[in-house]
Amino acid sequence: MPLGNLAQIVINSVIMGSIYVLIAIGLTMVYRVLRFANFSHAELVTFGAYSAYMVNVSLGLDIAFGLIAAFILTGLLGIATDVLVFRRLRQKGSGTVSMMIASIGIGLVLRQSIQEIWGPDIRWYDLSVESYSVLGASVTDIEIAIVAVSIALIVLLHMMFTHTKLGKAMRGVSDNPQLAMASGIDTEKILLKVWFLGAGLAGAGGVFMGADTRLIPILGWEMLLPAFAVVIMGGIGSFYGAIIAAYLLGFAENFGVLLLSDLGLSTGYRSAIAFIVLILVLILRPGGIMGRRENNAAGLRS
Amino acid sequence: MLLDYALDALIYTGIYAILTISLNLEAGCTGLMNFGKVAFFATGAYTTALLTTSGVPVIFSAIAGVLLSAVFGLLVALPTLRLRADYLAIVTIAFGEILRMFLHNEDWLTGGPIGIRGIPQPLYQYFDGSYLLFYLFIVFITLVACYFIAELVINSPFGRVLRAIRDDEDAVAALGKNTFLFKTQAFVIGACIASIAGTLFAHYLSFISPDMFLPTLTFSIWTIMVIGGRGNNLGVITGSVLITVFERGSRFIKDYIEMPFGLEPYNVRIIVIGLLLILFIIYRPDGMLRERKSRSPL
Amino acid sequence: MILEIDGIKKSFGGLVALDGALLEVRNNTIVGLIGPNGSGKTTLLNVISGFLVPEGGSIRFNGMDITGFRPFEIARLGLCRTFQLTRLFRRLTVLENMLLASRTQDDSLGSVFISRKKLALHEKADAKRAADILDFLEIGHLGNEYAGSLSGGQQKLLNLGMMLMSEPGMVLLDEPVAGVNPSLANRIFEKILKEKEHRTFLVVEHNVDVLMNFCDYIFVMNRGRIVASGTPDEIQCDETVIEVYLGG
Ligand SMILES: Nc1ncnc2c1ncn2[C@@H]1O[C@H](COP(=O)(O)OP(=O)(O)OP(=O)(O)O)[C@@H](O)[C@H]1O
Ligand SMILES: [Mg+2]
Repeated sequence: MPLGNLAQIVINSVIMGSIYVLIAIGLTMVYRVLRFANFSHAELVTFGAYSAYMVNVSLGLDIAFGLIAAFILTGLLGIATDVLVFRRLRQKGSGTVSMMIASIGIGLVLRQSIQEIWGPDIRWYDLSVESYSVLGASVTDIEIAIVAVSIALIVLLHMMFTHTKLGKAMRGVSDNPQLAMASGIDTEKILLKVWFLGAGLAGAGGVFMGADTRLIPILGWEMLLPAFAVVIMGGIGSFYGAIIAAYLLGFAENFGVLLLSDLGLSTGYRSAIAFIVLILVLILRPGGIMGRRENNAAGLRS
Repeated sequence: MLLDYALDALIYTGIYAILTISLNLEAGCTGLMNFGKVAFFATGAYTTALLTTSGVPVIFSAIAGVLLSAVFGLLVALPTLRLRADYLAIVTIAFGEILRMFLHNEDWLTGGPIGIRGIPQPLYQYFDGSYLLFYLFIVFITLVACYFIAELVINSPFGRVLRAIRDDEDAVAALGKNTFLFKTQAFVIGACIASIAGTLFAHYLSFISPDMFLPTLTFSIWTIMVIGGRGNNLGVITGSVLITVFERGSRFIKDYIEMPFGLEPYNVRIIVIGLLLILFIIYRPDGMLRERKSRSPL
Repeated sequence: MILEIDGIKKSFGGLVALDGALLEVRNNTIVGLIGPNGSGKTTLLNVISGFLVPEGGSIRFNGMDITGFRPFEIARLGLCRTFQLTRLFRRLTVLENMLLASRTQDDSLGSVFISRKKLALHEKADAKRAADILDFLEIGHLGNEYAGSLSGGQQKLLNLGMMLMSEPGMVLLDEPVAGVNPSLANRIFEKILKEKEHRTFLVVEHNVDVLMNFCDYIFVMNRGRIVASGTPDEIQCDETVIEVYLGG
């Protein structure tokens, strides 16, 4: 394979990984604290993408403002879903099954509302894209920004989890909610912050995906499978696991697509790669790649 | 004309009811979160479409669909049913999407996005003019059969184990039951019944395409089950009537009345279905007809 | 020896919950397992019943090495357990819970369609047996209630009833009378005493006094090890035991 092609694949993998990582971290955070798979996360991603569209195209501002707006608006939407739906279920003592079903309902409502507002057709951000050549591969300034912002956000999150009181409280709440409550932490307040961050990250991921490809109402839905594949591969609730898994999946997809065309299969099966990765992880290491034996057992019914 | 609409709505009701009975067995009774129901529905529909358009009699194509669905059910069950409940939810959603992708991409087999046309309508020549009525009869008979089979299963010692698994799987294992085996069987039966619904669907419409098998269909079926009453097959049938009347009715009505604010009826329909799901799960999680206390001993 | 446990090790992350526990149980005896909170009693029961896989050591039941067997396989061999926090099937009726515990009913899928007559007959016989047990436990009138609607004490009784219903060779009971009023607790132990003819019991209890009258032998656990064992009389005077309970 010529060096240029290889470089292109590596670059594409890193870009995809950088988008997956934001979406998956948001998903895994909520998963860890609330212990259910939030299927409406997909639509938070879509909502983020379209709220940036509002700022970028409808208001005519730079996409950077779109990104910030998307983070905040989607964060607030995440909080809204919790206050309106999930908190009520928590208060009634409903189990994770109810939470998952409700999240499906929220997903339907959001996705179709987005389609009602912005229509089913493809839209694009208003971007002026500059292309650079690196080692014979091409990369745009937008893509460089995606990777850079993504990494910056990861570093910020890492610092928050390890160094701030809020980060420690979040970890406390997710590890042992009863204990956290007993030691005077207002868990409901922490939960809202987890939602804001988790949903905000999803929104940012949506903007990146929209900037790198296009906007459609099923933008987030298409990311749901890879996002869950990343979360499970990384070990549910694991921040660092999700980071590694996101980039691994980015590489797996981009190299996998090569394999597909070698096998004479349609590259339309691209997202089947995430599925295969997911199944392999479930068979081989259900607790995730980072999971020790104990965590693996946790992936099994306890 | 109006009668045709009514018959059409009833046929849809029957097909959805069969589909929901199959979901009820897995999710309502056993607690298995199958979010990929549509995949098994599609398997039945495509199998019969492919086979009957190449001359295989309907009865054999239906059986083939059931068998293929069972195999798919096993393939999904084996890696996931040993694991936590949410893994099944994720994998089934994914499976539905992958299967649809397959139907979309493999033109040589499935006709790709255009799908398959000219699926024969069995015995059409004998019921010219009243075919809808005849087909409704077929659907109704199948529904009744599925209902009784499901009731038989749920109210047996086997079904009791399924309902116990829904409450506490480990405690069932502590009683010496191989819960994995029970769950797998429930899942496979569910897959088979869904395939039968798919067969009925394909021969009714006589053409099918991948975009008839969107995840939204799975979620509508979930809504039907939740509002009807998880674990209660009569409730589930009631739910099918309501949702289908709403679904078909809103299609019918849109030709006659203007939507306010120029809203798109399709979007509104799905938003309503999503809202119903949310509202019921919060305020009436048992549904309209709550599960009946089982009449034991048999 | 119906049960032989040797050198079981189990840790959770850094925490060593079982540190080479070993004990032996003779056929048709009632054996007590006592120890302070967190000493590893429940963990040991989890390991014996296959819910946890030990990192080392072996478990033999009726001479067969069952280490690493899955929970349902172990239960099938006739080694059954109850849970410390009662676990029953809330949306099944009390009677159904009992019927579920019967190990002789055919619960295969095939039987649903093929041998319904036989199922029904067997079910009737099971129901009769279940009713007798429930009556004995003084919850006979609750047969048609949902198990989830029972009080905590009644749920404990139902759990015990299910255990009797399944007629195992050996029973592991995790604090069977916690929260049950003393007179009923006494009756329960008397029932267990009567059952001794047919099966063997390993009973986890906090309270030493409760066990004194009923046990043939007692093991004392502390920090994941068996630190003392003997007849109730011996245990009562054992210095380590007093130390464990006062110092622990
Ligand atoms: N699943 C688990 N994960 C992590 N730690 C555990 C787990 N189960 C038990 N432990 C720990 O192992 C130790 C032994 O617990 P165990 O439940 O066996 O004690 P016990 O003797 O039954 O106590 P009690 O009398 O309170 O029931 C405790 O420190 C407990 O916190
Ligand atoms: Mg204990």
